[in-house]
Amino acid sequence: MTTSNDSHWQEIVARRPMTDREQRELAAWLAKHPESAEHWAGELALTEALRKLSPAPVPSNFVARVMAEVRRSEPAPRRSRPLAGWRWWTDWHHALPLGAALAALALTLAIQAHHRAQLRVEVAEGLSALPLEGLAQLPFWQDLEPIQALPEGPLPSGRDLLAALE
Amino acid sequence: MLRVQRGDDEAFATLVERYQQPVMNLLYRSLPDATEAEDLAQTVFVQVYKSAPRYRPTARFSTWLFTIARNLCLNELRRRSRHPAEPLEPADSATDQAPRQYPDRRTDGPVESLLQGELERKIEEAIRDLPENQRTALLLCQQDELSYEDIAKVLGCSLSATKSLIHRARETLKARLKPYLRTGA
Repeated sequence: MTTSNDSHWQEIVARRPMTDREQRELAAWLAKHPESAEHWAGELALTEALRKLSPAPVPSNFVARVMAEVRRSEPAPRRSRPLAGWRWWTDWHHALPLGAALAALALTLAIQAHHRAQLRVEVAEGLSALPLEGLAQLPFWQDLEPIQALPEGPLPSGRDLLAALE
Repeated sequence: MLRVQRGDDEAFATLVERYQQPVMNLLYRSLPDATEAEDLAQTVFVQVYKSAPRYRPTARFSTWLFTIARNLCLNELRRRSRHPAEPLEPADSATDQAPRQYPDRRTDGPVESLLQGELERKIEEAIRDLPENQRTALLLCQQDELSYEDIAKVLGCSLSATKSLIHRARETLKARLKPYLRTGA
């Protein structure tokens, strides 16, 4: 037996009893190396003693108790799960009212944007109808206060605006 | 385990059934109190269930399971060293609601049982007195399905260090149990 074989057999006896063949090989080797007999007797005796150890007592209802404990502790992680990430989005209880609120907000913003755009077009059309040659000499361009003083609400037509400025 | 990840409780019960004995063997021989070992084994499986979504099948399930068992056992041993008198859980906890039922495993005659019981007590005492890493290495080594590489992963050390731990544990046991092994083995 070489040192590597010895190490290999040490690994075997640490895990399991030797097979008959392994025992015969070991006995043949020990016949030539009686000085190692005590060491191997101890190794084999320890392996046998460990193998004979009774299994730890396990209650016959252990599985049932584990399952009961799992069910008992189950609601906690499931309750906390929806807020943990984006998974809550799939929960329609949360998604439905939130989606409706977002849709209403988007619709309001779209209506407002459309109204402003329409207003801008109307003002542009009114201004484009003004006589531009006379407009450049008007003194109000040096003082913007009249423009700032225009009333709130719908803008007047271009002609009314010009009349007001004059 | 993949079925457990999909929420299959029946698959989880099968896993518990399959691994309850190996886990109990490890914990029972690591903790001085059988009831605490049992409660901790239950905690191990509950932890496995809760951690199932994080399980990745890159390592063997048994390696993952025994890593959880070892970590919880280490925590309990540390807790015991800080608060030696406190039990793992209060006596009136929900886990104690179901009474424990043990199967009767006695097969030998009374004298043989007595001698074997005495020898086992000595061996278990000697195992319990080993340093934690040597004890865990030795006990995991008794699990057929764990290779030395698997044991090294559970212990978080190299293969050679694992073999060295097992060797030292066996040498300690041989020295301590020498008189009992000659008559009892």
